[in-house]
This record gives sequence, structure tokens and C-alpha cells, in this order.
Amino acid sequence: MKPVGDMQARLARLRGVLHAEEPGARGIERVARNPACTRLRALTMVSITPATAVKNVYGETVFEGQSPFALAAGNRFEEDLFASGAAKLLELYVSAGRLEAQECKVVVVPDHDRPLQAGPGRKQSIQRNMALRRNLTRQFLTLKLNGDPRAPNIIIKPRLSVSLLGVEHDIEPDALVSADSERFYRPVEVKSYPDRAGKTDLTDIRSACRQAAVGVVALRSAVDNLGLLNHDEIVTAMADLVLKIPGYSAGSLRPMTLSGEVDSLERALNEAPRNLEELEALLADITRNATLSDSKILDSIPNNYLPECREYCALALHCKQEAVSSGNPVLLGKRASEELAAAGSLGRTLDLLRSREQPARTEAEEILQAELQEVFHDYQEVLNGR
Amino acid sequence: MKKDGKAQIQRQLGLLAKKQLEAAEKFQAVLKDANATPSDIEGLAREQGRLASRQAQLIATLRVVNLEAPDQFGAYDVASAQRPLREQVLDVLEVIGVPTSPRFVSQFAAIRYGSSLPIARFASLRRDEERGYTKDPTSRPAWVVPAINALGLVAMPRIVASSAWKPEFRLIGSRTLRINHLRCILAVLTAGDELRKIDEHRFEQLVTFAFQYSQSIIGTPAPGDTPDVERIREAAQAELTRIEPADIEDRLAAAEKLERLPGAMQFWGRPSVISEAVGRVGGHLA
Repeated sequence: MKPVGDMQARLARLRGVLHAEEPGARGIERVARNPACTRLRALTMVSITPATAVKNVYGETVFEGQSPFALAAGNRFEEDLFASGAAKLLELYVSAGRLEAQECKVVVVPDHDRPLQAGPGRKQSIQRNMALRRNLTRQFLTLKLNGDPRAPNIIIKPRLSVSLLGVEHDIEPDALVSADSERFYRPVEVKSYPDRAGKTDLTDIRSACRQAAVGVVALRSAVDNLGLLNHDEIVTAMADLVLKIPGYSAGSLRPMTLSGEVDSLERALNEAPRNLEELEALLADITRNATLSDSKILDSIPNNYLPECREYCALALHCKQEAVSSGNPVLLGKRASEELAAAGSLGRTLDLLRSREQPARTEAEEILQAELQEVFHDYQEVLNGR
Repeated sequence: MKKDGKAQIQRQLGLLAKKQLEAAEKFQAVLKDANATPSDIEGLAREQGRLASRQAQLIATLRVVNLEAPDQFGAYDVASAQRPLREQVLDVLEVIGVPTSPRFVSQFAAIRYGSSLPIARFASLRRDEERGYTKDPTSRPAWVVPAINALGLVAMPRIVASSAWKPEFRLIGSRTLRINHLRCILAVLTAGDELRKIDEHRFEQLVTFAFQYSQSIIGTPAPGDTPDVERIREAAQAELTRIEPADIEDRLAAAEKLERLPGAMQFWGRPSVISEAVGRVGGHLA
């Protein structure tokens, strides 16, 4: 792998006039969400969020983000769980039998922040606090790996990092938990989504699991950095979700297995350096000094619009408009996109259906045409009551 | 905020009252109109609701402005009857007896004494205390200091303590957050006992406060049950008996190390150092 300075220069060149942004857990997990979307992967690799691309590259309005009410509710739920030395979170684990009553060693990492300076020194003092949090988190992880009895059972707001193309990005899982008898910690994601047992919104669960998977990857990276190679055995692909019980301020605890999510994320992160070279080659083919801050260049990078893109990507609306302009069959859903792949567009699909001037050009189109016309015939029969 | 801030808010309330009157008159008129549609009525009702929210917001702001006026808290004013914030915080900490968060100090003071100790003032209090100590440590008998982490002997600024306490009571070990939470609840119940015959209203408020904080203790009444002071006390004591002895040992050991540090560091902690050489797996923590 090339030196970090060289890598950072390459990323800065690709960013053009835009500044690097911290992606956070949501940004990192996006890399694995839609692996076929080169556009999303390109932006994430160079540390530009889709929201920034929408606003600063395309000059469009951003419609992403949680509602302020949802954010406020989520913050309140979290604050309540973590107040008084995470008393309610601790009680949740003890009641669930995951921790014994005496396994009440709790550390709240932000409690150690130094007071912020006012004025020009404020940014620097924030960065210093973040460095202190990383340091403190490493101390506690080391205690745990050394089997030290002082190792906390719950660490609130630890600060970890995930490396993407040699650049370290800070990740802050909601908490880490480990019983004294367990080898190491697992991440805890706290969400104020209502827990309705089997009727809980799967989109919410999937999103929380993906963020927790980033926490697992970050823990494995931390174990690597502490000199242990068997991080897969030490940090299992598991996490706990804490959701809200509807009508109460209490939480519910769900252990989740995240093998699929962690694997896809690790694969995406490992492929990133190759992806970067491919991206540079792609841009070089377009024009010599192409950067991602140019809307025409960004548009020329292939995307993979899917209906679920709107769950996590601010570019969804822009990409949907592109899909509409090109008549992409995915507008009718993923299944339609697969079945109409031979036609390639909705316009061509209609041409094949109505047998207009242009007959089927390939064998695949012929098969599709026959299927479409058969289905259409059946449809007409049904309409005519036969 | 100064007195003209208060006058400005009162002026805004006056203008708002006129708008509310006009809105009420329009609402009355539309109700008398046989041709008025439900959406007309709804629209005017919504407008009245919006004006009522704005009124509540302004009144809340007026309350804060009033409390934060220089003649209430803030500047030390010998001539004023108000005691400085630092003295009130130290008094409350003495009653609670363990390091705790500014939020808890503020809530307890509001219920027990009817005092307003704004949480936002604690950041500047911390800075002022450290500056005052650095200038002349002997100028005051006690200072509001941060709790100290037993592991690295660094300050935990978001938890406050009194410098008059012995080192082991200002230290936060691995179980101390939990222990202090239980001790805070017991302190609230004790304060309630003192008030039971003197001030029934405050006593009930304290019991409710303790009840809310005790939800995380196994064996206490569940939400919706009647708060039972004795059950809460017994459950908290039982848990303390199980977990406190080991934690005290750890804190006493850390206290010995703390007392070997130079004077100021015994109260304000060691400087936080960002080190790559934090420790080795298989070795001992640096």
C-alpha cells in the first residue's frame, strides 16, 4: 500500500474543490450497501457525503436526513438510557441475564472531555477531546484483552476508527458491552425505533445492524492495532440492538448476528484500493483533470439506482430522475428490472410489446417479446371477461 | 441578560396578546357564520394554538431571564441577599455526599431548596474555580472540583465534587458510577425524611424524584406502582452491600497514588496525555 501522504494527495485531487468530510458509521456502511453503485462508492472513498454532492455539485436541494422530531426523540431516549452512569442500560443487561449484578463497571468516555476553549481555539480543543477519547478507549480495550479485572463491563460512547484507503475515520458506537467472563466487547446500537416484536420495521432493523457492523469492523481493527492477529475469534460478528418499547421510556434488548453485514463491509473496505485505481483510470479516460466536484464528471460515473436507495442516500432523487430520463426498468421495481433486462429500457419494452417498426434485435429480446405478448394477450382476455 | 431584555420580552407578550384577541374575535365571528366551512374553523383554531405556543415560549424565556439576572445569580454581590452559585453547589454536594452530575445537583437543589442552579452555569463555575485555586489555594476552605478517574488520575469535568472530601471520595473507580447513583438516591430519601413533617409537598416531590431515579434498581417498585420509600432504600442498600467493598479498596489504592501528586493535581487531576504507547496486550497498563 502506498504511503498515507500519497494516498491523501490522490483523494484530495479527486475531490477537487470540495473538502473532506467524516463519513461516520452511516457513511462507512454505505460503501457496502450498494456495491454495484460506482458513483456512491467513489464519493465515499474520497470522503464526500452524498448530501454534499447533491448540494454543492448538483446545486439541488437535499431531502435526506431524519426528521427533527425523530432526532429529538432518539436523543432523549439515548440520554435517558445513559444517564446516572448508564443506570437504565445496566438494568436492561442485568434483567436480561447478560450481566451479573456486580458486573456494573461502567465508563462514560465523554465524561473525561476537557472543557472547550472559546473563540479560535475551540476547534482545536474539540479535536484534542476526540484524541483523548480515542486514547481512553484504547486503554480500556487493552485492559480487557489483558484480562484485567478493572476492565469496564459497559463503555459509553467509545471512540474507535475504521481505515478506508489508509485514512482513519472515527467511529463512535453508542456503547460496548462485555461480561467479565467474555473474551471481548461487542457493540451496542441504541435506536428509538419502536420494538413491535415480529412487526418491527425491517428497514429500521437493517439500518441499525449495518451501523453495528461498522462497530464490529472498528473493534477488529483496534485489536489488530494492538498486535493480535486473530481478531475474527476475539471480536465475533455480533452486536446488541436496544430499541424502545412503545409507550414506555424503557428499552428492549436484541442480540443480533451480523455475519453477512460484517463480511460485505470488510469486502468493500478491502476492495477500496483497487476501486480507487479503477476510479482514477475512469476519470482519466473522461478528461485529464477530472474531479468529482464537477457535476458532468459525477454524472458520467455509473450508478446503480434501486428503489431502496432513498433509505440511505441523498443522491436517490437525482439518480431516480436519471432513471426516469433513460426509462430504466428499475423504476418498476427490482424484479421488473431483472425480467426486462433484455430490453434495457421501458421504451424498448413497449416497442417489443407493440411490435412496432423495430423487431427484436437479439435472441434475448425475441424471448422477452414473446413473453410480453403472451402476458398481454392474457391480460386482454381477462379484461374482456373471457 | 439585562433588564431591557426583560422589558423587550414583556413588550412582545403585549403585542402577542393583541394578536390573540384578534384571533379570538375572528374565531367567534366564523362560528356565527352559517356559511363557514370546517376548514375555515380549523384554520383559525390552529392559528390560536400557534399563538398560545408562542406565548408559552415567551413566558418561559422571561422566567429564565428573570432567574439569570445579575441580582439573582452570577456576579458575587455582597450587598445582595443571594449566595454565590459556588457556595450553593458546595452545600448541595455536602448533602448528596458523592460526586455527581451538574444536572442531578441542579434538580435536587430545585426540589429540596427551591433554588435554581442553572446547569449551563457549571462550565464557567469550573473554570472560575480552577483559576481561583491557581491564584491562591488557601483563599477558600473548599472548591468545586472535578471528580478524578482512579485509573489514570485524570479529571472527569462532567462530574463535580468538593475539594473538602477525602481523596477516595472524589475518585471514580470501575464501579463507582453505579455506587454513586445508589448513594444519590439514598441521599434524596434521607433529605425526604427530614422534610416529611415540615413540608409535605417537598417531601412528596423528593420521593417522586427518588422513584424516577430508582427505576434501574432491581427490587424497587415498577413504573405505575406506588413509590415505596422503604423498598427503594432497602434495594439500594442491598446492592451497595454487594458491590461497594471491592470498589472502596480500588479507590483507596488510587487515593494513595493521588496523594503523591503535586498539590494542584490532587484536586484537578493529572494533565490528560494523548499517547500512542497506551499499553501492550500481554503487558501492564502504563
